[in-house]
Amino acid sequence: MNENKYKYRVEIQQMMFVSGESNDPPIETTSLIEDIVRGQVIEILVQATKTAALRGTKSIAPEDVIFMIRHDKAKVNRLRTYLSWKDVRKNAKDQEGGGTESLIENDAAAGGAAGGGVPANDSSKMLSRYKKSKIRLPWELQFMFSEQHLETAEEAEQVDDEEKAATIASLKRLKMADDRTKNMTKEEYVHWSECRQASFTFRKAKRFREWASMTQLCDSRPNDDVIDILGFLTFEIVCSLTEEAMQIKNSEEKLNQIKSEKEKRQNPGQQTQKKRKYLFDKPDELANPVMPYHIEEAWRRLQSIDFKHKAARNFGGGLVKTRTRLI
Amino acid sequence: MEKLSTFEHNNPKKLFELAKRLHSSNFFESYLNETHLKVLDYIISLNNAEIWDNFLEGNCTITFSKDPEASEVVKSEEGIADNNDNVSDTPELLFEEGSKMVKMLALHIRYLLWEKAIDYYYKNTGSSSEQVVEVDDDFEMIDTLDNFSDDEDKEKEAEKEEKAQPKVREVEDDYDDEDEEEEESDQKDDKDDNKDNEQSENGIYQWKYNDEKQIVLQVPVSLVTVAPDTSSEIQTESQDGSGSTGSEPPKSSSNGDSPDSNADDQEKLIREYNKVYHNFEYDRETLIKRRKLEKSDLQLEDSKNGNADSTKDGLSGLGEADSMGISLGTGSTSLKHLLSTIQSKRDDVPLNDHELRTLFMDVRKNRGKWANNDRVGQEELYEACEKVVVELRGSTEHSTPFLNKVSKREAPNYGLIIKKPMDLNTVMKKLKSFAYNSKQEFVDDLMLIWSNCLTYNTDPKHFLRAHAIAMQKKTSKLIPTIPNITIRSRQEVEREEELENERVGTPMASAGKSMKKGRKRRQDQIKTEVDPATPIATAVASAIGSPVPVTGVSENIVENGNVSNDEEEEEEEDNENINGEANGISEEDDELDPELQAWRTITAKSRAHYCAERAALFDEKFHLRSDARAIIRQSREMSNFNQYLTNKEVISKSSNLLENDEPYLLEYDITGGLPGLKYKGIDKEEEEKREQSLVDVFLQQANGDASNIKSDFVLPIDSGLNKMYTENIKEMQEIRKICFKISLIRQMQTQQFVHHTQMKQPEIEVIREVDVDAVSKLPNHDPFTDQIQFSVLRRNIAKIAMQTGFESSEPFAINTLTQVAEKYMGNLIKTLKLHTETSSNNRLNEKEIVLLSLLENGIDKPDDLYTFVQERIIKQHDKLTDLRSKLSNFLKELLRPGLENFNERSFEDNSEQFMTGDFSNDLGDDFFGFKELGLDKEFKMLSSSIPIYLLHSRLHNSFTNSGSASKRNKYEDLQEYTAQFLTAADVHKQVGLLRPFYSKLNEKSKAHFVKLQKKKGEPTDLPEDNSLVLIEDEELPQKQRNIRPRLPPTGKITAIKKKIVANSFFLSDDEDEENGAKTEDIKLDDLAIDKTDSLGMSSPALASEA
Repeated sequence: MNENKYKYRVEIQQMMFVSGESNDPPIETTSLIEDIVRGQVIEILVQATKTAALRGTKSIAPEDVIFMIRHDKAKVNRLRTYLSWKDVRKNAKDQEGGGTESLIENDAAAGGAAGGGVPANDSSKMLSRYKKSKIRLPWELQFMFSEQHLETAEEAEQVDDEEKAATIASLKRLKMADDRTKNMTKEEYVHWSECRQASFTFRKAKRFREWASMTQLCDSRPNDDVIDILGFLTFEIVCSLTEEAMQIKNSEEKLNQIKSEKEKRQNPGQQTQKKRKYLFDKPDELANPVMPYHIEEAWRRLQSIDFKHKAARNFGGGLVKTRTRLI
Repeated sequence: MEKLSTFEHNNPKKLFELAKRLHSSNFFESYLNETHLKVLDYIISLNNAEIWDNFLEGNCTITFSKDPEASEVVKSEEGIADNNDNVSDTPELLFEEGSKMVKMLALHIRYLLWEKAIDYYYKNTGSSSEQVVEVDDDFEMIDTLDNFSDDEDKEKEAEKEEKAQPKVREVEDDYDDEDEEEEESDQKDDKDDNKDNEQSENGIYQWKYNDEKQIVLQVPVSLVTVAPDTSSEIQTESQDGSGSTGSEPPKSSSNGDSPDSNADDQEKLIREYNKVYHNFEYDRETLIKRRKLEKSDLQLEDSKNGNADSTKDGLSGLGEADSMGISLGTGSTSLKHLLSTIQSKRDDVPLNDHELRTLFMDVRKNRGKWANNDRVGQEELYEACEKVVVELRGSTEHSTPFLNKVSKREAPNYGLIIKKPMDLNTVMKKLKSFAYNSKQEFVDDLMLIWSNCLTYNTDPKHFLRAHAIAMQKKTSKLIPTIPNITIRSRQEVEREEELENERVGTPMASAGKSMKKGRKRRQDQIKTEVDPATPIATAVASAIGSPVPVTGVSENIVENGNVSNDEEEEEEEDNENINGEANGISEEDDELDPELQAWRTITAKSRAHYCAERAALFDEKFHLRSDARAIIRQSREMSNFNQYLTNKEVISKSSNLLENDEPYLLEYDITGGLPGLKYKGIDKEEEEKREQSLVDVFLQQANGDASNIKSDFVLPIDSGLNKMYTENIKEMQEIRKICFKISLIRQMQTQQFVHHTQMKQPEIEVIREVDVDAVSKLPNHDPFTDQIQFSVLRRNIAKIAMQTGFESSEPFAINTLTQVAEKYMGNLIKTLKLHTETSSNNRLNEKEIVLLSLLENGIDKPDDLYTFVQERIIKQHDKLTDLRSKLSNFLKELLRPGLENFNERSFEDNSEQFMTGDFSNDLGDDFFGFKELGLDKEFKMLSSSIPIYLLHSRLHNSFTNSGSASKRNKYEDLQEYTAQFLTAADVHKQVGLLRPFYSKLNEKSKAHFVKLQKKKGEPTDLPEDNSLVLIEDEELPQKQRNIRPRLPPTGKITAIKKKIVANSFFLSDDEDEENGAKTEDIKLDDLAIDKTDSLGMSSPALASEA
């Protein structure tokens, strides 16, 4: 039972690799991350069920999940682009049955290629001309009114500011990824791109459902879109956790370094000993993987309540009751 | 005031004279109690100045003479010693021998006399205009007194005469001196007579001085015992109907006067109240007793309800509700007066008793609860009895111990001694259950109560005895008011009356006689009835009416003497809170001062009421309660007080005395005497007036338009965030209007019928800046009050809510939001304050403080505010304008059926909608700008409107067949063009490929022409080539028509067709057959097209052919 509990070690490792952890993290770290992710997924599901109940339905719609993270606009936009691309993929699959495989590859390659600075190939352009349906969220301005206009073709192509902001953010990410992949060999790059495809849900929907004990949490089976969104979100959670943990680790290392330098300065006799380097010497500093306590600290930091959320309780006294925050 | 010299010099003779006169006018009756009155009476009857003098000086002691008839001089000790037989009566002596009582009496009489003088003095100095007649009499008395004394002294001293002269002169100054002088002369004569009497009596009567130089007054025992049977004269006369007093008022012996005199006495007493200041020492006692009474009233009420059924049964058909008791009470009193009047003028009334009685029965609106036709006299008897009981119960001074049954706890051996216990509540209950059949039974029960008490409490000094005796007296006073009626059944009475009628000739006489008879009989009966009730020993015997002998009872008393004493103490302890220390005082004073006593009994109820009111003002710790009701000055109280000040007698709250009325008690009037405040305050009208004047001034400044004045509560509409917000809101409202139109059109597309109410545009109000509280512009208003500020904030919050997309908002929700905002702003300020006032060493500068407090309240950096405005307001505005334009375009598209299919044909469908533009009219929109241009008036075309269903169907059509419509339109475009008919001459002009076809056609048409000509019977000559028109396919008969393949309007060759082609390809290679099949096919195809039917129809036909 206990062995079966952690099922996503590989995926988590891959995700951590994508978000910058180059070493193999110990199994404790991945299990901890998995636990956290599961907790988050369950939280999302519970809250989404609540909002769905408010709407009067029993099954969770994609909007319910997006509603949970609506304040993080960049993330919402990323999710939107992800979903729209998924839509494109699906349409393409419908249109030309059997071509799915290549499309996905193309898509992935397009992402990778963009990251690699290669101009997007023609096929992806063609695909985008296939109507790339925009994901509309019910709290957008136009749904404030009782009637909606029919969208014209040129309208859909208009990119609004939010999307622009999102693209800027994603461009930044791509730039980061670009930097990391610059010096990779071909094999390394293949590994990298494989890692980028890691997902909790892709082709593992059933496992994911069991893992998150969805049958117990939701009345009706959430549809595939929801699962996809959750897959995206879990990826994001792992990434942000790792990034935060990496930062903590880095600052810790920096502190250690300063400390050791101090020590060295205090007894300079030892300094001369390690001046020479030999070919088969150990590396200077052992690269340390992210340890569970890094993750814990990262989790603590991500869970801290900012002023915005407790300002209303100022001067009110009493304990501020909190829920788990969604990362 | 020389007339008062009598009092100044303490002239005993004159005083004696005054006293005598007062006595003769029954003045003392109301002030002295029975015994005192008797003693005084006795002294006055002695008519000895020396005795009087000594009496007044207090040099007097009293002994009892043994034998009243002999009236011999016997020393007091001897009197008691000799009269051992009477020893049993001694407890009933109302006072003890000796000088103590007489001294007190003397003091009292002195007081009364001097009081008269004071009244007189004030009357003459004060305003003499409003004088009560009765008081005048007294004054005359004093006036005449002077004269009298002058007369007296004239004979002896000349100086007195000189003194008298100015007196007379002074009297002459008065305007009514003549009358007085006349009276004077009368009085003189009287005095002379008196003098003679006096002297003669002096000779007879002898007196002694005892050792202490006190005069010894011998009083016949009969005077001072309560036994009325021995002093028969007085008692009988008193019972003769005067009822109110124990002494003999000679005037009030007649029946008719009794109630009036009673009331007069009371009134007199009440008048005197306000001359004395009463302190509050009895209040506590009174209050407690009152409460007890109320409690027992409640108990009675309960038991009455329990008996209600039986009572109603008793009442049989007459069934009067219990609640009528109150109204009955007043009704019966008013009737009482009427009755007495009728009684006094009985002879003038030409009706007999029976008739009168039935008349009363009829007249009376609500007949008493006691009324019962079958039991004659019940009503009268019971009514009177009830009144007596109520009055007895009401005299809380003494009645409290007798209200309820003596409980076992109070006196365990009570049952042993008293065989037949009785109490007032039981009497009441018995009354209510109609247990009494005659007055006698009722009186017996009452007297039994007091005698029980006296029997049980043998100790002569026991406090209960005093109460019992007092009650006894009161009872005997009241008893005569009860008519002596024995209830008989109706039949009996009627039979009797018949008999009587037979006996006496005229009904008139019989009535009068029976009347008199009745009265006489009553008197007799009263005498006999009361007799056994008053002396205790006999009363016990008769009341018990049991085989137990009297002696046995008395033995019991003796035996149990000690025990009962113990119990009494116990009882006393129980009642300590009631009787406590007050007991001692009251017992003495009771004896002495009937005035005080009367005051106490009459005012008991109202005093208790006042006390309860006063007690409500304090809590248990005797602190003033903060939540007690305010004491308010009442105009009536004030006027009472004023009347008191102007010396006008205040009898009661309302100036005439009624039974239920409470007398005016100055001592308890807390608020009446307070002077008013000089500052009157500002009432509503005054305030209004001032405000109005302020408003006027203000309006003048603004040239009569209030809106010209700038208000702090109106935000400028052309700058700042407010501008953006209002713009956004306007934009939203516009969009909503468009949305409504769109939804209307959608509705019309889907529904067959749209109700005209649905067509109405919802009213959307334009946001205006309104002054929330225009009045606060006035300088006397504070704009910074909570309410105003809150409403201003609320208004702005509502605006924000609208800007975020709410069409309208519930006041409750907005209130909540406002409170949240209020709290948030408060927090912000508090944080700022905390940081600026901090005592920390780590001082921050102002900028840092602002930043820090913003941070702590959820704004990470000031940039956030900017981005908020940028994102949420400006960007939203852009989005909204964008959305609006899109939506309006969409709407236009919906309305206008597209330019490509907007052509001339649209005008063919009989409607002029495009001409008039009416279809847009219904939507409340000026689509073509006709109105703008003023064309509507010019052409008067917008006045007529087409029915909306036309528009409806038109739109419907345009949506459903938009595809085919466009195709058809292209064909229609060509329809205009009519092709030229080809002639035979044109054949060679054709393309070579077609020439054989046309030449063939030429031949065909020639043949056709010939055929036609033959039919018409015309010459068959062929016309010239250029005039011979080649026939078209349509004109040919079906069989000869040219074969032409046709395509469906879509231009596509459908799958079905393909199949057919495939089939035919397989089956035959014969061209003709194939052609035939094709023609068939085409024919069918044509049909199919004509019918706009599906092509599927043709395929089975083809298949069968194949």
